[in-house]
Amino acid sequence: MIDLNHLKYIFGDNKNQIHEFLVFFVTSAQENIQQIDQDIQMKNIKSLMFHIHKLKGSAGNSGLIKLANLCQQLEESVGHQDWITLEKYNLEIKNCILNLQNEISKIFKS
Amino acid sequence: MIIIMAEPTLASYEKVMIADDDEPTRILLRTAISKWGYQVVEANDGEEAWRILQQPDSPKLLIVDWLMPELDGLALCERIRQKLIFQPYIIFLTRLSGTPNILKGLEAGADEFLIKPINYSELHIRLLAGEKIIKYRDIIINQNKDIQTCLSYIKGLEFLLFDFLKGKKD
Repeated sequence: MIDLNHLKYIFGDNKNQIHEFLVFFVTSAQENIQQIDQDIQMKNIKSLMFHIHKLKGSAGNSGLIKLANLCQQLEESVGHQDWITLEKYNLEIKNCILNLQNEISKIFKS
Repeated sequence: MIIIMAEPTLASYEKVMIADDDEPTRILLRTAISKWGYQVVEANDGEEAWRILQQPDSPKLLIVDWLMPELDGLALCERIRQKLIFQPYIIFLTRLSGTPNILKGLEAGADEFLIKPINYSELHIRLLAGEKIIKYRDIIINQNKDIQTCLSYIKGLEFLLFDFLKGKKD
């Protein structure tokens, strides 16, 4: 899930910096997810699109392609106002972030 | 006159402003751009970027995201082109792709339009190109000032000569 080569291109071989960045990314993604949940509850399409787009961009730039792709699918289901598919992808995104957290712990446990 | 300019080196210390509301993206950009020898200034939205641009010695190179709260990248770009005397070099960096969006961005005044996810090699090349353009522009502005000064001297001399010749005639 984590493209370490992508991050090494930016941070070099500094493992601590990569770790710090990924932990920060997860915190930022969780804040975005909270906003997305609120937007879904309020059915605020404009704000929802904004927050999904932001998370998609953030994930893509960080080399987290799977998460970026899920955001793309979520964005498309908002476009179709398909609330059932939207809930499905929203849940998948949350699971993806949980998996990301686990992977970070595994890679940087030492 | 032939002007020979040195190629921008790694340690150029030119200021680059990143206007992007996503902090992880700003961290990635800041890390990469600092390594290339630039000073990095950050703005969380278009309004903050606008405030920074109005300060003395503001950045001449800008990397702007499209979708931002307060003032988006497109509106920021238009405001810069309409209101600033000294024009920075603007690189749009956005997930919004497709010809209509690219045209919109360029029409608003962007010099370059790059699509996210970030291709760092391409971004670096575009920054170097922007830096060169800005340096050439500064040379032209300074030479233009020199020409204006020369012209005012010539005009002064012209008046003196006229008075001198008039006096001789009288």
